[in-house]
Amino acid sequence: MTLMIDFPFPGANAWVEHFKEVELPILRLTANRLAELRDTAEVINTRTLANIIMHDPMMTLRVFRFMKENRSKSQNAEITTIERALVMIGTMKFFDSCQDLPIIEHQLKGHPKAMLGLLKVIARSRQASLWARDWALLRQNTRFEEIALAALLHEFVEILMYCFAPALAIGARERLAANPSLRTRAVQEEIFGAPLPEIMRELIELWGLPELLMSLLDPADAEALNVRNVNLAVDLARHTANGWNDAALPDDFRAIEELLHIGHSHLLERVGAPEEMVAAARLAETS
Amino acid sequence: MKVLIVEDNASMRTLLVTLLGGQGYTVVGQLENGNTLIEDIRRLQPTIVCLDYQLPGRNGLELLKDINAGFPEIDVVFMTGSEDADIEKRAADSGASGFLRKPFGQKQILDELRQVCEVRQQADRAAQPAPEANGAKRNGTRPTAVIVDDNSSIRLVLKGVLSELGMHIVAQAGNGEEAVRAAQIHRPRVLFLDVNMPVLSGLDALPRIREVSPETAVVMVTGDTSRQLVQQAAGLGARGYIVKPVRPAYVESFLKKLLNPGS
Repeated sequence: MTLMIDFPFPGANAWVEHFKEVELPILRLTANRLAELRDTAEVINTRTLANIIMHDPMMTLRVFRFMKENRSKSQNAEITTIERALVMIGTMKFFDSCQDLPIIEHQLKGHPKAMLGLLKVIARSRQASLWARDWALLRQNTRFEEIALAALLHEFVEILMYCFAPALAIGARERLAANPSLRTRAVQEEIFGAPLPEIMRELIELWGLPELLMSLLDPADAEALNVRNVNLAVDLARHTANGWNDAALPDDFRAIEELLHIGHSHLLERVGAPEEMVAAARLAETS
Repeated sequence: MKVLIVEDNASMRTLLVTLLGGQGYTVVGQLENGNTLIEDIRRLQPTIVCLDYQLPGRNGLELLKDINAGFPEIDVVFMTGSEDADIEKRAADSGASGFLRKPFGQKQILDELRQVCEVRQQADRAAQPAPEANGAKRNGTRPTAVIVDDNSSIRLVLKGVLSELGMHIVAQAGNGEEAVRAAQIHRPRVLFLDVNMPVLSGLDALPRIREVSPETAVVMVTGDTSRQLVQQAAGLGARGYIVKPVRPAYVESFLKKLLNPGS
């Protein structure tokens, strides 16, 4: 267990150096589910295991980090999905690697606000991942799993901050909530001493995370369809977390409908919008 | 202040070295286990040891006892992620000057070290010999106290804090039997009594102290603040308790109430 950071590091590199050393904690639910399955390690279906792992962005990061650290020289191909990573690692070795892992709930016991903030980001990330996957399948894109993974990990640096610098993470969130006109990047530089995308870029490389995540950070790739697929799912998850009447949602809907070539009511149904919203959209389309 | 860090987690060591170095502390060494701790303390001469509990080899509590036995002037800040309910009490009773339960933040350890340094500075000031004429005069008017604790480090700190608060320490003792004798000889205004001690425990000594010196207010000094212990001590005539590790602000407010009950 490491020291919780209360003072910002001087720049992205120092944060990366710190995260390089730390043991990544996982959710208690993940630890319990894995413990239940440990006895079946030799026969377990990797998809079942992958689903459990992908429910927890921190566990997902652990798998990629483990892969990167234990990769043999002959393994050149990029690993872009958890299921593939598990096949490469082997389920026995995977279970051996996750005994007595630190638990997030324990680590944040003294920081209930940070725990709540963290759970909200994780819930948002899971939702974004589900939507991103669904839309990728609708687009008949064979990289749907990588797209879902990118949406899940899109905010992983914020999750790391909640786990290892809870006071700073809460500070940043409250500052943005109190001053919505402030630029997120400026607040991150002020509170963390570095913009989170810079830290993210370094960690993607360090931990061997899918390249698609790197594309999300590159403005030149912003119009690439897979990048748009992920970004729109992340935006929709963030805005709907404020409720289905969030002011940013109409723009999100328009962009997603354009990406998927589907009508408004169809999209609302697909993303599980409230029934009255779907009915109103249907009515508008038939009138 | 010269700090020695004993912690098996490399990331924690690195962060502590950077943090403390940036706050004016001199980190004289960092160890991943306590195998050579006593030799390292002799060589590096730290004033504070930040000591982890769960270390490879000997654990922090065992090492803490060694440090206090050999170097009572060194303050130990005990750090642990253990969920044991009584670990804080055991560390305090073993002489830890500070305690941090993991995970803790950078601000928490800086606050803890600041408090430990303040207590130590008070103890050091009190250890300076007072000018003789004034000292004799002052001693005559100051309330007297006896300190009883088997841990010399705690006696040292408590003596410093109490002297700074204007008390005259007339005797110190390391077990219950010695406490009874000191009470009989000096009849102090206050007797500070540790609970867990060899030969005769504090709770066993308490009724005998009350018998030989009924006017002495006995104050328990303990890391254990359980209702059971507090009730037992109160039933035997203790006038209150001070929690270990000793903190001057708490001792001061407690003594004010004890010595000036009407104010």
